[in-house]
Amino acid sequence: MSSPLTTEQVLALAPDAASAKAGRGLATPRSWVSVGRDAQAVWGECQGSGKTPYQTQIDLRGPAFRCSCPSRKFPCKHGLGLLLLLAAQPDVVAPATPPAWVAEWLASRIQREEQQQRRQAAADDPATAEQRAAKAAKSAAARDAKVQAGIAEVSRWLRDQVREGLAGIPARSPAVFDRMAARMVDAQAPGVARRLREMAAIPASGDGWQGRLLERMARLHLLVEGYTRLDTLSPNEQAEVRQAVGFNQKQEEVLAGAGQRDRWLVLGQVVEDEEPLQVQRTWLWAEAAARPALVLDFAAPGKPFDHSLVPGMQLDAELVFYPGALPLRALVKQADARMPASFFPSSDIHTALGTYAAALARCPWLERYPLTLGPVQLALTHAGWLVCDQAGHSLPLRPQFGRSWELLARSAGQPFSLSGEWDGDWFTPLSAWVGGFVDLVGGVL
Amino acid sequence: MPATALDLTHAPDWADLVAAALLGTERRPPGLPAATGALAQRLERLDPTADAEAALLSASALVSLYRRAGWVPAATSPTPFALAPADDRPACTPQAAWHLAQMLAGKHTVALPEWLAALATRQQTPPPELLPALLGYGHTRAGMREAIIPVLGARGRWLASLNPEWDYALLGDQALNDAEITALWETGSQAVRLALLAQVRSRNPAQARDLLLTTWASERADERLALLKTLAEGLSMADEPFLEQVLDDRSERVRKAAAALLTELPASRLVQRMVDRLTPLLHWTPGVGPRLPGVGQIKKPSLEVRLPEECDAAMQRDGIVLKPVSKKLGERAWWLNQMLEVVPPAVWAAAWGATPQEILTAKITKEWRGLLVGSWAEAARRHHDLTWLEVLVDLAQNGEKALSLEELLPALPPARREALVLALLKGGETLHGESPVMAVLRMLPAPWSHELSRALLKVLGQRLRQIDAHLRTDWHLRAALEIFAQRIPADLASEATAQITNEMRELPYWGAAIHEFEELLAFRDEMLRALN
Repeated sequence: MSSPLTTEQVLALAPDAASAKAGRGLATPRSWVSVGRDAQAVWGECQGSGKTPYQTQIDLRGPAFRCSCPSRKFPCKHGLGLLLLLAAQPDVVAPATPPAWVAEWLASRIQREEQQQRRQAAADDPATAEQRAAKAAKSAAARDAKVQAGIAEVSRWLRDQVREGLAGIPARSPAVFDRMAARMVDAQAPGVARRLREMAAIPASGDGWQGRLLERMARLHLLVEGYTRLDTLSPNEQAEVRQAVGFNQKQEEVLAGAGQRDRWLVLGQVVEDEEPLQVQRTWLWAEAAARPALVLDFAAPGKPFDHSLVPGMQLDAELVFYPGALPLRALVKQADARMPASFFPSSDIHTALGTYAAALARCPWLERYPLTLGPVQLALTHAGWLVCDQAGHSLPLRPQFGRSWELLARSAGQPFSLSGEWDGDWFTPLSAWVGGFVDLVGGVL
Repeated sequence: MPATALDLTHAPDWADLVAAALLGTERRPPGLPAATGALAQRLERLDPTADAEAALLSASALVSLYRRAGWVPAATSPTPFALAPADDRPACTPQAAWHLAQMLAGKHTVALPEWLAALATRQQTPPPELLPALLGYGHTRAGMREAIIPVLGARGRWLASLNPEWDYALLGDQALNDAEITALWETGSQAVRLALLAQVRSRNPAQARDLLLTTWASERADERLALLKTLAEGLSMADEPFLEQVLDDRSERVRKAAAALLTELPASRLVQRMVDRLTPLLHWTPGVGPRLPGVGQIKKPSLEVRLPEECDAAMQRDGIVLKPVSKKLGERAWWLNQMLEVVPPAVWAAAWGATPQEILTAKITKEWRGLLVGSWAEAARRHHDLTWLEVLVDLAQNGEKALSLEELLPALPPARREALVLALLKGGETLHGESPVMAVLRMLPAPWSHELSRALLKVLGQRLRQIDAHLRTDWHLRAALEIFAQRIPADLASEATAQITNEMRELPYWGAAIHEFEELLAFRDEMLRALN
């Protein structure tokens, strides 16, 4: 049977803070007319403001949610509330035989899965595969041509900026970047467009903007140069460049590659806006191979993300890395046992920065890299919070990180382990091990 | 922008590249930075004369990456925090912690004081991760600090010592020795000193006064005012000489506060001066004949009142305010009213050899009767004179217009208060927002007894079952539901719910308030159970 999620893990599934709060409010027996569970699912009827209670059901294998309420949030507060109730008071949710409305849904889910497998089998048929391949090759060639033209344009643009001098940029910002970013969207090079959009905020970001902007522009120049000379690069380097420009490799192709089987710990999950989509970054860590992996998921605003990876959970799983000079982005090919985390990686700051430098050497466009530090302690200086190791090295915590006091309170000043994203300037905590796994993304309340 | 780990702007070779990029290659062709080793080999392949822009961008990419990859933090870190002392009491259960988190996040926050008090009784603490939020709550809401401090435990006090915003919690609830007291008194922040003085005062009133005297002359006016007010607890005649001196303080607000404290002391010189001022203004004539119940005397006792002619400097020094606060009273009546409120009413009973009943029912110049009865009520409250209060309550219940029951009630002992409210509830009147009992209920602090609460639930249920036009617009009663839900004992939650029908829950305008009433009661019930 699937292991029930902890309160923190359930809250990590919430689409926003309001849903998490509403879900907590419903995680009490008196909100539910009936509740029940079996090995696969948990269900309940929740008394809302209307006459008939809402029917809420969750397939624990996913977890996959379904609720009869009209909410457009996903998962809705009822689904979250039910899982929170299960996490906090498992005795209240007694094993039972699923009622008809649950059994039917579960049956339809299994049917759908089978259909999908049949469709997959049909797609693997050689005749249809050949047809599709020919069509795909044609559209790929058309896109390549578009991207090449776009790359040539951004190359000229970069040279123009440097020829005329960056001093004139603030007067023309952010339009100068936004216009070029829009051109790159049209040229089907979304990776380049995103880098240009991110530059737009720099001229107004205060002291030292000139250096920060030049660094970004130089990094983009490097990408442009790489793409222009793609033929001279190794296949892995080619993949890295194409990925940075914004070519997305098909998931099926990636999954066909060899996987890495290990015990993977979900270190943390961050959701960020990446116009016009939202991106969910899930960082994992392989226990035996001692390496990180990044699983990305994209969704339109308000639409659900994949919820199968929950921070603080570990899974015996096979992950396949996207090809590239720095294998980091990955897909879960197959996952077996899931359970609460029983280990947490850690190294001193010097060693961790060594892995960052090595990663940067393989992929100069790396924007952030996970570091797993420990044993570390926190310190507070006039400039802000620091994480310090036993050797006396320290990294600055991102000022927007709002849970330093909480982390200090949990640790009582004792050394602990801390994972986070390092972008070369700031360390943004993802999770910690302080007597147990602590998810540090989002708020404590 | 705070300093970051990697400050590229101060590296000379990088700064040269930035300067070149800022200026633009069309103004000055860029040079390449000096370098050694692998970096130098890469830089040598660039040719600024052939393609100045590409060379500058490529060199920038190489140098910035080289520096970013090679950066190591300086090994001179600041010292991490000292370790917390061992925990001195257990943390509450996760479920109880969850209730706290909900209240701190703004849901049912009105129940927080009750939760904190229950936690303190059980000698438990919140879990460490919620301590910062709780300490922060106390930082912005000074009124909550007294409830927060006892639950903090060793971990919470340790945290408080690390953040200046939380220093109000530093004292904890343990007694300090004399040296610690002196040190904190001389160096602590204003919040700490105030809390320290209150703590010392509650244990040893004389020591607190002596502590205050050591620095009194050098305190700022607002500090003097705040510190002086802590003397209200444990006030005695031992404080009188000091307070008498403060009547000559430089700050008017401090003088007024000292006068207010002295009026609480019946034996103070200030109260005696008031008696001396009032005695010539009040002329008592005893009644004639025996006092027989139901018959009355041949001639009732009477009281003649003269108004004071002036409010001189000495009166103002004793806290009498010159200008009336309301237009209902003339200046001279206003002075009389203020003086009467200060004098214990028993003084008059003794001076005239009369009982409170006789005085309060005496023949008094009609114009001034209301003024006198009202002033005596305030004086009886101020000096906790239960004999007088009982007579006043009796008068109020019999329709004395100058008195209101809800104003007298808070001065009565809890049991007496309850009995009065219970009698009103059982009086059979329909409950509505303007009922006399509603005003009284609002003034009645928690905890309410089960008997009282059940009686209230009964009349409330009766009222809500009669859905009529008046109920729909009775917003006083609707607003009072939140007060009821805060004060009815939580273990009556299910009994309260039993009074509510689905029809009531769906009433327009009332539905939401009834829902919140049930929710809050159920939440309090659940939160207290989770602590057991």
